[in-house]
Amino acid sequence: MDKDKQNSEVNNEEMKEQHPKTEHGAPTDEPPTPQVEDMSKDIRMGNAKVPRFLVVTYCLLAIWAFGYALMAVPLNQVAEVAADGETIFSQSCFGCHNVTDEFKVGPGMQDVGLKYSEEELQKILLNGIGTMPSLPNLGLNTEQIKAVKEYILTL
Amino acid sequence: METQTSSDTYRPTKIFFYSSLVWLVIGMIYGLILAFKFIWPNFLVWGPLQVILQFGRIRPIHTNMLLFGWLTMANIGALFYVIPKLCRNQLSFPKMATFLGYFWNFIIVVGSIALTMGYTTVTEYGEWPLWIDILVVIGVAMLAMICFSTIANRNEKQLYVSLWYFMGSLIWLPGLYIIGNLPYKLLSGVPQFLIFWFYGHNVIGLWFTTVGVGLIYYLLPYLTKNPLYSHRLSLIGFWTIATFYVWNGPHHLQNGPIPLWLMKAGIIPSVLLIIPVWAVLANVFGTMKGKWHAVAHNTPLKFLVTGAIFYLITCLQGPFQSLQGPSSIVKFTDWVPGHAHLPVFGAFSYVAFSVMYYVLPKIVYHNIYSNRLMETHFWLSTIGLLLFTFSTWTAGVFEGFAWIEGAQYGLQFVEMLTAMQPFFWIRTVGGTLMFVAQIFFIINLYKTIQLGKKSQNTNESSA
Repeated sequence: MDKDKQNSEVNNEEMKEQHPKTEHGAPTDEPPTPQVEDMSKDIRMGNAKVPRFLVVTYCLLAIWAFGYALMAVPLNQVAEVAADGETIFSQSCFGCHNVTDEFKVGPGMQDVGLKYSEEELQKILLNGIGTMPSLPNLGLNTEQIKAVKEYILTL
Repeated sequence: METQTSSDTYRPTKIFFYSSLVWLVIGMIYGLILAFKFIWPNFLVWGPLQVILQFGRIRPIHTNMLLFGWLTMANIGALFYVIPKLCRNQLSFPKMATFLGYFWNFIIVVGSIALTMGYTTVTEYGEWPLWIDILVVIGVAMLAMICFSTIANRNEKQLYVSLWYFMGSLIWLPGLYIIGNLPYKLLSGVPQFLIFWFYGHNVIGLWFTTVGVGLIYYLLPYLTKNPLYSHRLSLIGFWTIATFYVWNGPHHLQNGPIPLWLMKAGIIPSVLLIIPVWAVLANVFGTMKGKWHAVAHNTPLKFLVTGAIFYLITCLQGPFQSLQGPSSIVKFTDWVPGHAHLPVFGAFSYVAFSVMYYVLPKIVYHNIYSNRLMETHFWLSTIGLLLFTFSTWTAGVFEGFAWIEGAQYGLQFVEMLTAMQPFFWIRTVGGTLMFVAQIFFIINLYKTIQLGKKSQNTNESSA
């Protein structure tokens, strides 16, 4: 502790000595005086003209602003996804499932709504069952899974 | 000690500066907890902490504490120092200014307690309950009275451009705060959120930005010892920011349930903000002419110039994000916190650091304790901020495109979040560096203050 104190005192004195010599460091180059320093005299203001590239930028922005105000149209930012249950079924499910009650690799889909509640069906579609892979694993998103579920419930 | 400081002209500035440092540390600790929760969602979920440190509660505590505790208090401290200097007089109502320092701390404390207990108005950056908002408005009114009275009693004929900015900010802030914090009672639905965003964006643009730019214009001529490049440019900047900024709210509801004309009324002024921003930057670069070598040795100047450059980057991003296309991708993603930290930490906290390094030696009558600590503060902050922002921007772009392709919900959303894990790590590392930098900052200032006190005591005893 004592050593630290000494060090800081030494530091302190060193800095005092350096004080008038300090270059660049504006905070250190003015002698501390306990009065309110009269500082605003130091601020000088130039009166340079507005640079040409700024004038050009301002004009371009003004033109753009009018153009945008007149011509912009709303944007549909969500990409259209194929959420047609029947199409997805024929692409992703038909390999194993018939739309009738005939067994293929898996059971037929006719009257599947009687066999399972909607909630159970949702679980099977999301997690798979037996050897059936889950639909998210087949690369289907939530919208598409919902469409498939709605479609097979109509069978 | 109290009797010694009671005659101190700079007492209000000191109270504001010292308290702002405390809020800086506490607020950043909250930020770090948030960052860790991105990596381990169960971080600190233990006993009562899982309620007190819930993400939804500490996120507004983090933002409010740093916006109103750290940056606002640092700004007010700077105003109380700079305005009398530019007016060649003393601060009016010094006792009220001192009281305001304690009062403002009280507001931050009760505001944070209220948020911790779960009371919120869901206005972004204005989450404090209504009764606290009333205290804030009273505080801001006191602040405006002190500053305007000082300016009215000035001994300097000319109003330097910084004073224009300060006066503008002090007129806009109370208006903004009142308008922004009422609609949660008075309005509902889309109009409510339009006003929320009017407030949320303008509290940055018409308080932190305008005070910060005013401080840049004040410090730059001193630190470079050059005259300010162009008075005309600074006035163009002032009047265009005053004209265009208030329109910015609707761009936060871009592609949302608002009419097209309102979107356009939000986008066009957002893009036109390039005018004031480039005017400021042209002025900064013009003033720097021939003095760039000084940046290498002068850390306060380094902070100031880097802050100005971060301001430029923020304000290139801003107009870009406000356009419909980019907005449809980056909206709601991690891009946004990256963009939000750039002006608040990068641009205007850097200006505040510069102000403190410049002003503190003058008010405690002692040089800054260590240049090396200042440099460490600068580099850790800058590296930390760059890691933080670039990780969030990259994550945000990935997230935005994934959502457009249908991963907004369900399993794919979770998958996408898991995939963002590396970016959350980088973000946390960046945040930690930023936090450690501030510890160096505070140690440095604390040492300076202690040395100042010691040398003053020895002076007095020898006299």
